[in-house]
Amino acid sequence: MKKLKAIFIISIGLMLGSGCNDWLYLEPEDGIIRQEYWMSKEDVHACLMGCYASLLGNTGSGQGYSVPELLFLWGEIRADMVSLNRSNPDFQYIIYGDILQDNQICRWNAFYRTINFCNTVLEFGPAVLEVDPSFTEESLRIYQAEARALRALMYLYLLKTFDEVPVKLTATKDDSEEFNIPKSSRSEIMEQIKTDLEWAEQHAPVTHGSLAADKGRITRYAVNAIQADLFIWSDQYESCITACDKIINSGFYGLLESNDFWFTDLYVDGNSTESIFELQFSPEVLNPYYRLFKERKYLRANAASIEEFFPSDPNALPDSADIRADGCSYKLSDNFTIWKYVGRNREEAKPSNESFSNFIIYRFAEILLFKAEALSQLGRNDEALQLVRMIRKRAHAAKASDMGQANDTRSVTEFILSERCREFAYEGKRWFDILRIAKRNHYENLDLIIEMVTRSAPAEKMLTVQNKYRDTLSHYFPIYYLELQANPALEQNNFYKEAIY
Amino acid sequence: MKTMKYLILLILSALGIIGCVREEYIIATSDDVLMGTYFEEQSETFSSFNEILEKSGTISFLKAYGTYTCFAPTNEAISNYILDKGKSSLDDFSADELKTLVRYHVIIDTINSTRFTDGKLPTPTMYGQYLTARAYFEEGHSVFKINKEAEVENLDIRVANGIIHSVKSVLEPVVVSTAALIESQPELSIFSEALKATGLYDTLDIIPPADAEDKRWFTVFVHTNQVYQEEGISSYADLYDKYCHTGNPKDPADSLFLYMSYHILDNSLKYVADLITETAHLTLAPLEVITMRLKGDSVLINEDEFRGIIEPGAPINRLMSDNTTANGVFHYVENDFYIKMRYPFPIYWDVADQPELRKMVGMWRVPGWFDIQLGQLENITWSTDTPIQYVCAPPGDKQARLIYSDYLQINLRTAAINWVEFTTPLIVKGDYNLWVCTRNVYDPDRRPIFLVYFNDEALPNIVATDQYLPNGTDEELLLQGFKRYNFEPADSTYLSGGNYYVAQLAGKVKVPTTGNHKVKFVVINNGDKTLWIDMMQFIPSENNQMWPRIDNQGILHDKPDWYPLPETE
Repeated sequence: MKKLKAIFIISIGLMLGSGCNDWLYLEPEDGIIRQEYWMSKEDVHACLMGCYASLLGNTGSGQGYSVPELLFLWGEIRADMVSLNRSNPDFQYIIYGDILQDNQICRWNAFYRTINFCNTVLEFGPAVLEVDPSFTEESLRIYQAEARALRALMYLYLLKTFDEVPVKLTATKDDSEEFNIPKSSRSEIMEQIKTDLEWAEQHAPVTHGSLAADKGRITRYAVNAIQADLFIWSDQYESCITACDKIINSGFYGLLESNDFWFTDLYVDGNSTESIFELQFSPEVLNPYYRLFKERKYLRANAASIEEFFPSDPNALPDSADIRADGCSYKLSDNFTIWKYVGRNREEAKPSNESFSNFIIYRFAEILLFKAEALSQLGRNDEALQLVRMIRKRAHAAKASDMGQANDTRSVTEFILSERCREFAYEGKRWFDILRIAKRNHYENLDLIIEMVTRSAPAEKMLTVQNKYRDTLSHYFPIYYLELQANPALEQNNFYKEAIY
Repeated sequence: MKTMKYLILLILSALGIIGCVREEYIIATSDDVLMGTYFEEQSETFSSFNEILEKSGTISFLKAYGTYTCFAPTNEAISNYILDKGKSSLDDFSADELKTLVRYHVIIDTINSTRFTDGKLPTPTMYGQYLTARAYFEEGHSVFKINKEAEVENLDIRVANGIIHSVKSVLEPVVVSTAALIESQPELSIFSEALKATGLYDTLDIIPPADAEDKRWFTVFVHTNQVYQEEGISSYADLYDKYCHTGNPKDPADSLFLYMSYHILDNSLKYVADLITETAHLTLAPLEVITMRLKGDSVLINEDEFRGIIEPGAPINRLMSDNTTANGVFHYVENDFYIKMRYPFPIYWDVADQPELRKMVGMWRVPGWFDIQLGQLENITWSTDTPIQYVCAPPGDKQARLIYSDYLQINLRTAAINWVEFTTPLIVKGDYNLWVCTRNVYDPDRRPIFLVYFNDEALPNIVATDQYLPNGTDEELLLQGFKRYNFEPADSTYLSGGNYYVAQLAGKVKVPTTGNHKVKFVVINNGDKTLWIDMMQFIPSENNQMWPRIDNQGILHDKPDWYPLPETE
């Protein structure tokens, strides 16, 4: 009996010892883990491409709006160029000035997702130098420069939209990390963006060797464009002009001629010589705009603003009209459809399966107008007007939208603002333009926002919306309530603080 | 064995003791806090308000399920209120006083801050008066204020039976009538004197009982003495001299009486934000309207385009306006305005000339066509969401003789669009003949045949677009209710296709007020062809109905000497 027991125990011991070699093995069998990943330069490259891919969408269901949607919405929905065409509570509350902390448009997670991808490249890329001898320090630098510039671009958008956000510069790799990061101040975030861009400018290449890569990936000139944007936002005019001049003097970029193919070259086909950095949509990755503007058509062009900024001249021949008006920015005969991402040409719309028009983040025309704005702030109004006239000449701008002879800084700035409105209509710029100019010199031009409200707010709530916008804290979005719950270190923008007893 | 027995007993009794802990059963269906309970719990902020609720016997309904909005004054607000009233505590108020107070702070509806407009709240308080809520900007912050005074401390506190907004001062119902409140303002003395002289003061002095079902509200537009002085009127006597023509301002036919009635909207409680949602408002002056226009953020009274000329309107002073009274509201207007004597004049109304279409540069009045969706036009609406079309004919086309060569194409038949309704341009009150001008095709019963309604009243003649213009002289046609409306000098005999363009008399219409009115076509057949409508004409009954005629450039032509040319057959 005792013998039998002993045999039994031994056999069990044997079974345990031999059959289950992997019984404490916790690694996933159908996936790849970090320790096995960062082995070759191809891995680094793939990861960097993942950063760019994350800009195109795919946030996952229930995760809120994607980056390309937010790039449009953050720049347009609070301003006066869009109207609601179909019921959508999130959009309506913002247009009606009722911005609450449970509005999905205030979710920033898509941006932090891209930032995390960039941080991952920056954190794990350098170690590959040691394991892959064919990976050179130079190509590592290029990848790092792209990741840092992209991270800077993301923080710049967050800065413009929320004013103060938490800054995270390390990859989120395990849960031992401190996740409760408080907000950084405006100047800290600006400093961080500036540092990233300075480093990126030194190491980013002038070209990646192909047209699509030069427009879809960060080049040195794309870095300069982000710099120009940052400097004009932070009122550093000399630096802004320097950054713009680097692009203007590069000889790589120019304004597209306004011929019959102008619309298709610039917007439909994309990646034109005018473009500096755009989101690369393709038949495999369609853009989200077709759904927003055509299929579901939540938003359309705001007729009151169209009338204001594209004044119609009944005597002008249709061919000599402003090329940016009907059939480019919007389509009147299609009931004020926002046309830039929907049109196949000036006349007809694309079918939904062809909706891969790119989203332009920076193009040469904007560099010229950045420079014009900076020049004007420095009192060099005649030089500024020259640049604006270049843009207007190319666009066949209507006489009725001209400013006339005034050349003081305030008038020229307003002229630039309205020219930007025509040039970059529905390119996700309008609200940031108005806010940037309004807030300059301690909100010297707050009246611009108040006047904007007369075109965007519903008539019966106009005074209420105007008075809300007079409170400058309201110019930045609230932090989404789930973020506040998840991160107690975050503090809500005072304007949106809710009652707590 | 004995010890074992004890042990078992001990264990059993221990079990018994543990088992007798009282079980907490859930007896409520929800643990959401009700409004009344909330005030009890938040005593730091609301203990005084809670006391008011208890003393007035109203706490019980706020503890019941329902849909309430409560503007709850904080403790500080209530202690200030007690001081203001010269009392020492809430005990010095009667239960009825407190009850009135509570009723003025509660609305039976759930109104969160996203429903606040610049004007009144959508539902009146239990007391019967409306509250106003809008944002103001003060000391660097935007704040919501109720009734222009009481600052909101916290918005949108959600409880199970409604929404609480806490306010920093107690709201008090206005008990003074419009007439009395106007009288009490020294800068309104001229206007107030005129009210008394015309007897309208008494009308505006009637305060309906708080619990009346249909209250008679008034909206009044007043001018300060300064506004009058700028017009050269420095006293009531000057106003009397300017307007009164019978010597008896109490006479409803007297111009001063009419002038004053023209400043009053009867049966309407309209704050400025409510005024601008409609373009015209009927005044107390019989059948006279004032129009409203929003320009930027200023609101203008009677800024109208009249015979092609824009007459500047009188702006409402929005800062000073929206003054609530016990029976209405009054607004300050910065310029004098008065009834203008206007005589009926003909309207040649090109229905394809709509403001929304006009904005379509390169499409409107350019050969081609496009769809117009239901809802796209402010002034034309129809029964189903089938689109209608704007069509402009190329030169030389059979339709090119239409006015501006353009028309609207409407699939008007019982199986598609049953009816279409147009809002007219401003028409001066008076008697008119309404002419419907269409491009017809001989196609019996395949083209729309319809009835015309003016302001929902059917007109006598049926308009048929499946027939050409009958033969006959102009006078013969007129007797049958037809006329030629377009002018083409090269074809003054109308033999080569001239009878395609038919104006049919829908009937005589009485335009009751100067303003915009409705014309509706209701189809009675189910053809398979569409309506091509070019224009409508309102020709004053006293005018010549046949001339002038309009050419395809929109120019009016009087009857030329050579007309009609001898018929060549």
